Amino acid sequence: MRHTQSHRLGTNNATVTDKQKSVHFRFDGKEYIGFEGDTLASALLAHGVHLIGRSFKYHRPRGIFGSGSEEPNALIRVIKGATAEPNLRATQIEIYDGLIAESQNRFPNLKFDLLSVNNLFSRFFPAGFYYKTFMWPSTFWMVYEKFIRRAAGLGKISKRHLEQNRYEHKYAHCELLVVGGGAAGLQAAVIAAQTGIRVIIADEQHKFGGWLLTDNNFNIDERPAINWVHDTVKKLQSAPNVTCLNRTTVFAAMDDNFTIMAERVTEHLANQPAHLPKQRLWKIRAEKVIMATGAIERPLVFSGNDLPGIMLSSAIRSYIKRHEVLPGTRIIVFTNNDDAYFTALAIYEAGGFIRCIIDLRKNPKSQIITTIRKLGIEIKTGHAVITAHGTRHIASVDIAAYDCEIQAPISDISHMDCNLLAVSGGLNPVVHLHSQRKGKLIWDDRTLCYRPNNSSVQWVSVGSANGTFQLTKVLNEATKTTSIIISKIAKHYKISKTEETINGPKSDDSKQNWAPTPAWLINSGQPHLSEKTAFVDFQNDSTAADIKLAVREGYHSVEHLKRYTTTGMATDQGKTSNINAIGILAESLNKSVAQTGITTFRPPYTPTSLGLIAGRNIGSLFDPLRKTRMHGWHQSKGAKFENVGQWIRAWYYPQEGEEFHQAVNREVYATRHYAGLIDASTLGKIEVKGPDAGEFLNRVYTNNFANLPIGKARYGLMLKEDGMVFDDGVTTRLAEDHFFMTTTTGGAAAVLAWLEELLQTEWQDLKVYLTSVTEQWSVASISGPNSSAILEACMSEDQNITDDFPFMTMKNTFIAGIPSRIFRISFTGEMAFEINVPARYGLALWSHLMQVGKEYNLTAYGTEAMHVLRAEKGFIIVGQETDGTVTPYDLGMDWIVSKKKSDFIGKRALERESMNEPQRKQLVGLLTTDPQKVIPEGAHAVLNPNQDTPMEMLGHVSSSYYSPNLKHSIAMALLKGGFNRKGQIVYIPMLNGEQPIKAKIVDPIFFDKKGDRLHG
Amino acid sequence: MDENTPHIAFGCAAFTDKKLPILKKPEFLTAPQIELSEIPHLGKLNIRCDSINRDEVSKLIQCNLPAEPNYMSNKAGRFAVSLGPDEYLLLAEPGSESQLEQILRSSHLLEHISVVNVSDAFCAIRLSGIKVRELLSKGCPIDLHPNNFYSNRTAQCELALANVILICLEDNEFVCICRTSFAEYVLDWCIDAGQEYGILISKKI
Repeated sequence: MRHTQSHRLGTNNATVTDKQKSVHFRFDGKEYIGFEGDTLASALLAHGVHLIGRSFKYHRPRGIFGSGSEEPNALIRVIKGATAEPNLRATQIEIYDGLIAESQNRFPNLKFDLLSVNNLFSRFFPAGFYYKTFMWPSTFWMVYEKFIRRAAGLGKISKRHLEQNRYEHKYAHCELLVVGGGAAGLQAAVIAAQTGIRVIIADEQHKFGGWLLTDNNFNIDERPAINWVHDTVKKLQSAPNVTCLNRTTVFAAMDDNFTIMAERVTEHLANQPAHLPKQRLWKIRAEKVIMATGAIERPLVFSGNDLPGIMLSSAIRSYIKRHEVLPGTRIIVFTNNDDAYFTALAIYEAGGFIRCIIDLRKNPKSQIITTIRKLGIEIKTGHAVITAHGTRHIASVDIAAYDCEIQAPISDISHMDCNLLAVSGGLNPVVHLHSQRKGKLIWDDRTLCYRPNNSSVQWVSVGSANGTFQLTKVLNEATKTTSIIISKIAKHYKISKTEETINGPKSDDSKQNWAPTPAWLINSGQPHLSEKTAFVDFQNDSTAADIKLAVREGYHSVEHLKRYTTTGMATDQGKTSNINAIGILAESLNKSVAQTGITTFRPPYTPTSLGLIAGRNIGSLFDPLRKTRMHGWHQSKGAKFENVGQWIRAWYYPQEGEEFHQAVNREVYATRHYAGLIDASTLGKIEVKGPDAGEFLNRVYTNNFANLPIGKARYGLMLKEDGMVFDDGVTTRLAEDHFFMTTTTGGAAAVLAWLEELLQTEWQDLKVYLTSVTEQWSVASISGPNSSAILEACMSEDQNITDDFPFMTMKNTFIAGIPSRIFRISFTGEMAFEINVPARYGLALWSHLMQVGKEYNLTAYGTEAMHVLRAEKGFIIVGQETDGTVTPYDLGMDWIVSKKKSDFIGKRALERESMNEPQRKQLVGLLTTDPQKVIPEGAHAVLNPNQDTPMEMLGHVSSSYYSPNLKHSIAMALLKGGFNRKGQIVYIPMLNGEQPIKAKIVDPIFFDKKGDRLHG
Repeated sequence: MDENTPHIAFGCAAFTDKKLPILKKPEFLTAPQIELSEIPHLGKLNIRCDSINRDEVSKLIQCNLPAEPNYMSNKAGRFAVSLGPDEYLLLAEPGSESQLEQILRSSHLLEHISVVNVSDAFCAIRLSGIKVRELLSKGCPIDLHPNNFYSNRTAQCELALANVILICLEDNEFVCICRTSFAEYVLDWCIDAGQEYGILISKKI
């Protein structure tokens, strides 16, 4: 069934909606018709649908309240294909053919919502309810949390959202960014554009014009305002130096005018083209920013003020003018200022029936009031709406004469029925972006609003965002401010001096006296009853009573009040609630609003999808995967891979039917008995060059490098100033002034950055240059008893390489015709050669070695086997046996710390007494009593497994494997006073409830203690 | 260095592993607006030297090391890119890098400079077409406006999640130099980001 558009006007003057084009959509399962240009809110209101959601805490019925991003109530879930997006504001969703939307926070449906029982128990849910109730016992939070989260959930997200919705990022630079495309923004942009500078103008709505789309009866330069908007937008769009972005919300203003905005590129279309993103995140570097963000009307706070059918006066005017929708038939207007009279005029002109205007001011006088009076509309001055009544929609109001000074009704209450109540409590400049930049705000007692202090030359607010509400003044201010800003960008940017560019265009806007009367809370005379239903923050359901309770409990700071009552903390960021809350707080404290202060606004201005922030950094583009040149070979042999930093390395090479442990055991066994080959290309490599290279290395390593002979290699430990191990690796002297340093795979970038920092900031006197060559060289490391035979077999007949090739030396030679640097170094404890070739030959070298190695039982092994092999020998891995709190002494590596050198980084720290404290955690080996039982890595060791928890821990297991060569589980651990505990028994309690594992503390070298195998 | 020797991988694996050409474009476009290809085997030398030795090094390599940061100079197919106050990347015709390295190593300057062959450490990707700046602006935070980033301007910057050296050759022609292991990521990112403009990845320039 399609409902008729009972509330759509018969005229054809809408500034936004195009009545020629019908659009079909569904809301909560029902089919509706709207027009192109409608928002979901305007289209629903055209059908008389107000009720659109249930409130967060009390599940009270809520209706459409505003007309833009300030909307606190109308949160909607939009379903598209298999995905759905929650928490969109109906006031900002453009309808398209086939749109499917759902209300939220209701079960089973909007009219009968089960959790609305919360409303009956509202006295049990005071401010700070969660803090007060779910505190005891503290361990029960785990239990509470699940239920609270379910009850609190706002909207549901679909799991496949990111797969089916494309979000992109874009960087942009400009001299001037104009935020907001209303009167002030358009005028600023058009002035700036003629200088030729790059201008970006962004507006949240789908049409430029801002409030001129609503207040279209004004003239600018003697033509209708709307024509001025069209002409200006046309001018901007045709200028090559201007980027006009509609449907684009600037949601974050960061340091140095780094500004972030969200452009809705295709999400408003029924058929989204596949090559374009749904939304685009713009990251803008702007030299100057003009914030022409406009102002938002605030409501009035009285009992029952949250009923559907109560709307912001300006929103009603917008629906009439933009969409030709009049959302009620018997209308009351309640105001403390002149602006609502323009709404009354719009209603009158649209043929609506105004029962009366209720004005809190005693004796207001202005041109518009005179106009309204002449039309015969009743105005009750010095009156207030005390209470609104209705169940799921407003039905009537209680009215009384009201004294704003004493804050009380001063007459008997009279009753008046209505089905639409327009409320207007004054205007709040949209100062969010100014506030995000840590700009200060000034309270203006005349206009009753916080406005920016505009003390920065980098960004400036103009127009109603600056508290200037009269159109001619707005245009004038935008013109003058833009001229000043541009002159600060560069002197040579000239603006042609005409009346329009000096003073801006003139308008006939008659809003001369903008002086609302303060009335933060309408007192019914029975505050204990009425304040509980006088809502301040609609979305978070905080009431005037909550604020007063918080004040009584001592939350006097505006920041405390915000957090305790959650006022202003909902997805609307308190756009309609903050100032009212501060006003009520100020009155309760007997302070002025200025003395009370205001909370700081933080990004984002409107809710922003996490998908948009992630952009395309998802799936396979989440993080670069770095592959070695031999990767293709590993892949073709069915290798399993593991990530090491950004590198993806062969982990093990399972043969048919092999499990992980079987494969690793085979690889380890083969390497010890025949030969193994590992791709070590990912090791960090740095060329160290210069006459002071030796001295430089002496300072960064704990041991001596200056005396290293040419052609020799040495293992080194690098510490940070705190004496803790930072990195390790083998460094080789290629020439007197030339070294080749290797680092750990994961530490490569950090080591290079650290060494460069030292050279550039600490040791500028040293003549040393560093160049990263990690990727210049591919590395195949061959280990095992057969390694030298395989190497020989790869050489041409006239080469005899292995005869005179001592341990820890290097040779420049050719292998299979490939120029190579071969290092005789070992990380397995076997005779081993590390063959470095220019990366382009990496795969060729690897394939050749495997080919030649076939008859020598050469086996490719992965990183897991490498770990087992080195652990059998007790070799450490920086980052596994160390964690930034481990010294060389803790590792039992005193031998590598030079006693002779006058200095090296970390020396001073190592000399502190506590560094030799015997109870430091020290590296030991562990042998389990059960040789088959492998301890989980990271497990903790205790002396007595039967003690009460929390147990006294000795330390943790850093590495643990099954050693196929020893046929025994082996582990390394960092234990308190470990060196003196060798021979003791420790227990490793298991989280899964199994019996604790029993192990003996031993020396961490498990295999070939003398190191005979190194030499073949 | 012979490309024809069978056991030598041809160019960057990211390009050789993929079945080229790859074309991705929306249907309404008749031709891709971005073309991308590898410049394989370009000789690349990392040169470190102080400003006092700059002119002499320039003479030896027959290409001026630029004195201005973030600029490139080029002469007869050789390009010298400024990477820092005392660091340059020399791009030279394939195969010439060993000879250039030797010239510098055997000069009297050797004690004061450093020259390291990094030909295999980096991959050079050529991007061209009218939408190249648009494409790069999706991942590159620097100001790529033609008034700011014009012919012979260079920058070390991010391209999405990779560090790259970006060089502007002509108005619509750029070279992006990245570490070889990042080439596949850069390629995949470009294919993804370029889909709205139409992008063609081909083997040869």
